[in-house]
Amino acid sequence: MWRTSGMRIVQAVPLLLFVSALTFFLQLFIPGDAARSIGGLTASPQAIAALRHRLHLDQPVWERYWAWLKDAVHGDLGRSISNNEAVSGTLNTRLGVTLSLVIATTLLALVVGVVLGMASVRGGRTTRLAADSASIAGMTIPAFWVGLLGIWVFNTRFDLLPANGYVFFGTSAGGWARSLVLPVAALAFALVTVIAKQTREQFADVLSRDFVRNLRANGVSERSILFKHSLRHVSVTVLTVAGNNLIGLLGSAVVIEELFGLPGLGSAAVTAASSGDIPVIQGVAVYFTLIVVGLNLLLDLAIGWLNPQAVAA
Amino acid sequence: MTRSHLALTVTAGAAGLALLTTACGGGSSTSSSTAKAQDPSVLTVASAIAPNSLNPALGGSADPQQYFFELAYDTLIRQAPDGKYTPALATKWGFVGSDSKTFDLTLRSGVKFNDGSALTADGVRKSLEYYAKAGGPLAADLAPVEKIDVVSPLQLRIHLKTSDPLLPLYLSRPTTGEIISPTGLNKTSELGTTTHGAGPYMIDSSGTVSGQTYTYVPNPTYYDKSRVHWKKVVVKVIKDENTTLSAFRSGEVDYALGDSTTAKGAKSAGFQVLSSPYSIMQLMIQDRAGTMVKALGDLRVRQAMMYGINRDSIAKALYGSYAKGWDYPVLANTSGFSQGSEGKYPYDVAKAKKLLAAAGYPNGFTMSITVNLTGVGESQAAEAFAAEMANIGINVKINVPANVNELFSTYSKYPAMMFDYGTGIAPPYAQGNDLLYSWGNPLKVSDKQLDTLYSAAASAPSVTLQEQGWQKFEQRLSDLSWTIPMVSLEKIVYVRPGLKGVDLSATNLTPDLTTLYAAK
Repeated sequence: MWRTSGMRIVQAVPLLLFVSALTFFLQLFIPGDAARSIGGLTASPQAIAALRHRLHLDQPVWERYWAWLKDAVHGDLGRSISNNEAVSGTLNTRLGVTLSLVIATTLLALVVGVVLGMASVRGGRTTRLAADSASIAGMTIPAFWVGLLGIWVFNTRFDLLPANGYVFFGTSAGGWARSLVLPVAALAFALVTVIAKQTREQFADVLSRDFVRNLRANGVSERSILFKHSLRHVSVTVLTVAGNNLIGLLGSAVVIEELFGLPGLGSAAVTAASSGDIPVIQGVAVYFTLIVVGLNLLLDLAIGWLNPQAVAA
Repeated sequence: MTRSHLALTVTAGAAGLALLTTACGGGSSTSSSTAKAQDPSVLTVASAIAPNSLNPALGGSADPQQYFFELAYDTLIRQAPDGKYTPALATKWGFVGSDSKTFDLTLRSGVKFNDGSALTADGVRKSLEYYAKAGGPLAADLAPVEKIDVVSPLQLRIHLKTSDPLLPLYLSRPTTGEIISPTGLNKTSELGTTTHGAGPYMIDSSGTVSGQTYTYVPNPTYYDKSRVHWKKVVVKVIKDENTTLSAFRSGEVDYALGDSTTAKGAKSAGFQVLSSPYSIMQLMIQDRAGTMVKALGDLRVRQAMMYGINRDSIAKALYGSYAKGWDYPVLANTSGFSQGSEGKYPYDVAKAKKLLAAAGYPNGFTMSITVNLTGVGESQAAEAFAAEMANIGINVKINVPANVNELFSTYSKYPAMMFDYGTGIAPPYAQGNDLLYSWGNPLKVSDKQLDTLYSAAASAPSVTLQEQGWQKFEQRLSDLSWTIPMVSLEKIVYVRPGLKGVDLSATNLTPDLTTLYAAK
């Protein structure tokens, strides 16, 4: 496990380089640029050219990337072209929002998914059918549709939860929790079904193994078999599944942040991409990569703690 | 859990969910709760647009962008709801001579910006010069400025390169007329996130999350305390109109722009719904000489398009009661409009087809159009237009840009653009400039008669003669059919009961947030 974790940290460096370069060069394909965006429809071509020159957008691409990279490795992610705010400052505030969203979603999906998976292990054909249907629903229904449904039911119809906006934890813990209920539910829906299915199949497999039969023969309670012995074995797969879904989760999080007006990294990326604010997009790419690496590391540690036998792998 | 128990639980859960979803299936909301009255100390406003920057020199004036600037930056002149110019940072102003090329301003004395610096003629000069150079969307408003002389500590004289009778209008509008403090001009890098203005409020960074929430608190140095009505003004960014309505219902928002799809809901929820004609949804033809699409260069073809649109049915279908069919380039009862000029192009498919045949296109032709995204509902209007054109044989391909940036970079490559153009707030001088001498004429097509009429109206020696000139100008524009108007749209705002001072009208189409107050 330590070797895997170590490898992850080492791999982060080339990963960051690759992602930042790819993101930078992909932006060349977006029509227009920040000068156009600021100048708008009414600005004359000369004014836009002057602005472009002032923003260094007329320099060759690799020169601009190199300038960005040189500062980035020293920890300076530059300033937003739109409002001159320091990129790291803006994104640090937004990081908390996205992390709250993503971590809460993963935790919720794990807990609910495992519980549902375990509950359905005992069931027969009907349960399996229901679980499989739910799983297909989870894979095909997009998060934003679930989000819209949630808004319609819990805000428009019954006025129970906010449909927009984010309350920071520091301002009000209750408000923070309430503002996250619908977005987290929408994001977690797909992951819950995936984890539930995985859990059910893993449990079915583990419970049919010899060592479990031995435990039963020795009079160990069913409860203990389920929770104490089998869960540890299952946890490895389940946590790995969660880790694999993390990247997809970040992608869906962008849409959910836009839908619910959450000031996270995702919505920053959308705004920045539309206005050609390159430093911000680069910053988001860096932060996203670090989140993926960091959360995967955490999951590795969790796997190691829950199931020492997996460490040998 | 036993097998049967589980099955029961699952079925019960599914039934519950089904019940819930059918419960929401019922169309429009029948529950009309009485809306809470306005909180007298905090005003919360929703904006569908987040500003890229709080720097006025980089900001536009389109509703609701101006919210973010007008709260913290007073303009030199203030336009009252009835359209008259009243003193703000300037107390006296006017053109010298008769050619609208020299403009004098006298500033109010004793004014301090929220950062403590003082208002001086030299500071105003520097602020205006900065604005013209910063390259923002409205920098062109000050392009005619050649030189600004500081006559005394509180007096300036602006020299214009060309006659510009609209200068007082620009100096009374966000963001062109807003003055940035000398301290702010020395720290322009800060202007994106902090305010350095002489307005009734200032930004409170601790309550602001850029892109989501902007909190303003009273400016302690403001020169007119009677205009500071709130302890706090919060502007929230809510992009979706249904979410905005929900926010009204839950008491989180007191004022916002509305739209025709949620207006009924807002009314039944107990909010005031105010509206006033504001813009014309029109197809602006850029390829007036027919270089990209030959047919468009023929007046008969453009006239055929005018006759081939069933305007009333489009107005009703797309915008309900908040729009009506309109076939003239300016709105009724605005400058440039002459009684009886509208209604000359009734819906007549047969006539349209005849005109097309006479022009040499009995089987129609194909054209592509782009859609301007800076207004509201342009894509739907484009679809409606294409459907109408199909009836007379013209095949219209629609391109919707992914975002505003793509629009700006690609629009000139299309022969025409569907645009919700706010003629309600752009008088003929500005409209004509847009359509003939600036972004609206990327292929630089000109009509001698139109040019003559434009400069005659612009330089006419009296207001009466100017108005007569504009009416002739608009008539010629209409005859040329360089733009194909479809419907006139109303601007809609939602107001919480107890919130006063909105006064939406033909002369006040962009209500100033600083004039809003709570009823006692």
